[in-house]
Amino acid sequence: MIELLITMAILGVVVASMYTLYLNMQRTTFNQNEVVDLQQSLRVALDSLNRDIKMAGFLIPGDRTPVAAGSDSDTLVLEAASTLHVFARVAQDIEIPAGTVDTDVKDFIVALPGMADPFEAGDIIRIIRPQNGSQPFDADLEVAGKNRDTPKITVKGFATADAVQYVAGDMIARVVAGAPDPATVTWNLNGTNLERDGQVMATDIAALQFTYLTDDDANVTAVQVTLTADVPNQLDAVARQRSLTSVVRLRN
Amino acid sequence: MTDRILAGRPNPAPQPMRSPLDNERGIALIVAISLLAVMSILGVMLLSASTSEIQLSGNFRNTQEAFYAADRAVEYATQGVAQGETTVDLYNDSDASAVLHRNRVTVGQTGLEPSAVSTSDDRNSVTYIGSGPPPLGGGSDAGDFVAHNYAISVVGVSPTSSANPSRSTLRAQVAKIVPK
Repeated sequence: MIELLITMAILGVVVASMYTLYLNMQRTTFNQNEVVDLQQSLRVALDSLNRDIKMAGFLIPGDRTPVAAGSDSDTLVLEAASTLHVFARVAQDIEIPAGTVDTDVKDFIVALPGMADPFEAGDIIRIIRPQNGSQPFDADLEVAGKNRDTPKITVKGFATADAVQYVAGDMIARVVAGAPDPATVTWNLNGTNLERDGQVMATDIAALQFTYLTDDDANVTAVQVTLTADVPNQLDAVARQRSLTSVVRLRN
Repeated sequence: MTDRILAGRPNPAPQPMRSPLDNERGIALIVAISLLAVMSILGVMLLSASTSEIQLSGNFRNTQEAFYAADRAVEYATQGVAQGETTVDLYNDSDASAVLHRNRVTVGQTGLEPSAVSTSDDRNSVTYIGSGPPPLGGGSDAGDFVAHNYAISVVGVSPTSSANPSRSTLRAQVAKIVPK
């Protein structure tokens, strides 16, 4: 009988320690899963932010700067022709004759079928000369249709008394209707949410820090972003933080 | 002799048949194997979780490397290829020293995506768009200088040996100011 008791006691100790080990392991697994999820979402948000910084200043007039007024250590305001990152290159010169009215449609031959694809009838566009960021016709235009075989984008909205000349190389940029020109995009922290123009890109953010790298003329040449987040739902109530930093050069 | 001994002992009572459950031999093996199975399942779960995480960050790194390969190619094309009035296929054409342009861009496992330039495909090309006056404010006299405009399109991949690598597409337009 005594051996049974001893066996039971030893077994009890062993099972109890194994159960504790198992519980600990499960808790750690859960906590680490949260850490990994958070790191992943930080990475996605930072990737999206980096993309905006890389495209900042694209096709804006020469007197504007990629990093716009209102930018400071916790807010970043960027200017670019399109915050939607949708562009097409005009492949043939085209003249819009004087006296064209709003409903007249004009065919713009674009360089590749793939460039016509992201445009849909009803999209609002602007047509910009990349050499100096100027717009031969400075107003919102509308896509009337497209054809990927030609390939072309049909545009309407030219209400002009004077002739307008477009040349090969001009860029068609998709913009948001009624948005300021050039378009801006704002990244900031709202509570613990990282927001891009009011849209939540990441949650549980503890700190957002922008540092501007400048040249001798105080022009911003690169932006350093540090994103710090608190890991949520930790079972052991330990405060864990993860932080990602990147330096992105302005390309335009 | 035999008879005497037998006579001195009563006949043994007939033993009941032993049930297989009373046999404890081999129980250690069963316990060990079951514990091993439980541990293995836990281990495999952890391993698969970390493997997929490693793949995720590997893909992310490949994306970054593909982007830098494309960035490198844009820089290379801007500096060394964009000249004259022709279209250059960065993947299939060679430079003046008979070295393929793509080999100039390849570093380790990152380089250009295999392609061939056509009217519907501008991957890895430098296209001459046309010439025009130099950009205003650039400090070049429009009477003496002319701007040659080029469209550059590149697709970087990483790793080049993979059948399904990460890709990164970059397009740029550059103007070269040249004397008239």
